[in-house]
Amino acid sequence: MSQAINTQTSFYHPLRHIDSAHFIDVYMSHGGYRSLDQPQVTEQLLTCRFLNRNGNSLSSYWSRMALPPTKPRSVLVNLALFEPGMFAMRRMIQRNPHGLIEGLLLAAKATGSDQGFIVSPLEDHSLARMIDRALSESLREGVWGNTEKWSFNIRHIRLPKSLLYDQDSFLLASLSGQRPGYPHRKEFLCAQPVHIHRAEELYALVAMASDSGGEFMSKGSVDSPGVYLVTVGGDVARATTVEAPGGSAVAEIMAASGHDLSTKDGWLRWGGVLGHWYRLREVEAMPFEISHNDRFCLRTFQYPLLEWYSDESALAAKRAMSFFTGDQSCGACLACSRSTTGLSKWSQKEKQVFSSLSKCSFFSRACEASEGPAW
Amino acid sequence: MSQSEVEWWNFLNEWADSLQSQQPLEIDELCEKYNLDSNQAREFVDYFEEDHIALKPNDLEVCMGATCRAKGSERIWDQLNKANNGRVPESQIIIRPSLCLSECDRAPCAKEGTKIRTSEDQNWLNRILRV
Repeated sequence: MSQAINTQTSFYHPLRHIDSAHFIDVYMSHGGYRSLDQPQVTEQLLTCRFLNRNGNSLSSYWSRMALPPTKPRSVLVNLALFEPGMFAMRRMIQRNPHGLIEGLLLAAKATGSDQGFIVSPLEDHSLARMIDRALSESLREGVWGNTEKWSFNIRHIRLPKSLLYDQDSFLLASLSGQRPGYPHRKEFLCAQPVHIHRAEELYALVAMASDSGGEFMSKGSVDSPGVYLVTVGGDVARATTVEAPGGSAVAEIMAASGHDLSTKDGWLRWGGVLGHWYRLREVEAMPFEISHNDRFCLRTFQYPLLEWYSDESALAAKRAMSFFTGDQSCGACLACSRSTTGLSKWSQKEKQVFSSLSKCSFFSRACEASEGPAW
Repeated sequence: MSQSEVEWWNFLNEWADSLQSQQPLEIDELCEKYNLDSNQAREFVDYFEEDHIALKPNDLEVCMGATCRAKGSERIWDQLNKANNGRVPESQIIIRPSLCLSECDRAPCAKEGTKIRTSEDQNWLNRILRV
């Protein structure tokens, strides 16, 4: 069922060749926000088999809580963007901010939510300005707000990076004032049940609700239906994003990114900073799946990020990993209190001992990620 | 000047006045007043506005993510620190490493105040080193 990667057309950003598509009049003149008026769109989204980053289908994620219809609920877009190398979402929002809002409104319709939150880092001025402008434009056009059709409110919440986490449970704990050092509860959620989404899931919703939705879902494999955004970075000529159908081979994804595969040398890292290292020639034929795969799937603290490094630059990437783990470790458990920055100096036996002592999946991932190229 | 150029000229004057007086500018109203394309005006304002956001030139964040390191940000870090340490304390800048600035397709990059400096802008490093 796996199909070749098409680099000519884009499901996630169909207007990428159109200038000024980030303005609402251009966006709407090319069919933007039209899917919101289609009566069958909610049912279409609830029955789709597209998987989110945790390997759950959207309908199973949305129905994980048994809620009476009268109970208010909300949709939250998490723009934590703290994983090094995952630049693609920021770039996508800068080029297509109305796609994010349309996806948010589609998710709200499908879940029956009456409030939406966009949570972004306080430090990122240009991103915040783009989101604010898109929100004010769409409100002025009557896409959301108190309209005749429905009442839906969106708030853009800007929080310092230290309060933002990409993991749902960490983010909710942080917003509820349960993280050590940050006791101040953020009241905007008001204890509502909240559906948390990443930006790429909302863009996928727009693609599924559009005219090309059938084509979108016909791609991919049985385990990972649909098309997923994979970021390709590292020591490649230019980091980029590839829209890969589930089940695409790693070599296909690298080739679609424009990387020259003729040398077959170097290291491949899948999953981001806390991902796994592989020799390129050993895994190039392996398929990428969101779940049900022993190698190229996504575990906790891992992201759809494929990085290629030469033998030399792999050392720099390991140093970046050491810096990341030392900075991001909370230091609460015994293993991390020994400082994860010492990973490079530990023997294999020490790593095994501390990995078994640790109950934190972050530290386990860090120990796994320290394998691969020599430090 | 043609009528359209006169309208743009008036628009630019009002925009420059608003920057000097730090009064927020209603772009849409102004575009209506001078009969200008609001998308073009916004593109223009967004592009140049960054230059007028109060920069904190003493504060430099260098991206030390894996992609930037692979493209030479460690060398840039060393150069900056070496140059900074050779200065008198009054003219030194604060240089900090950053986990990632999410500009990997333009690596290596850094953040000077609120402004992102990327590989497409070749002069920023030389300018800081020269000061």
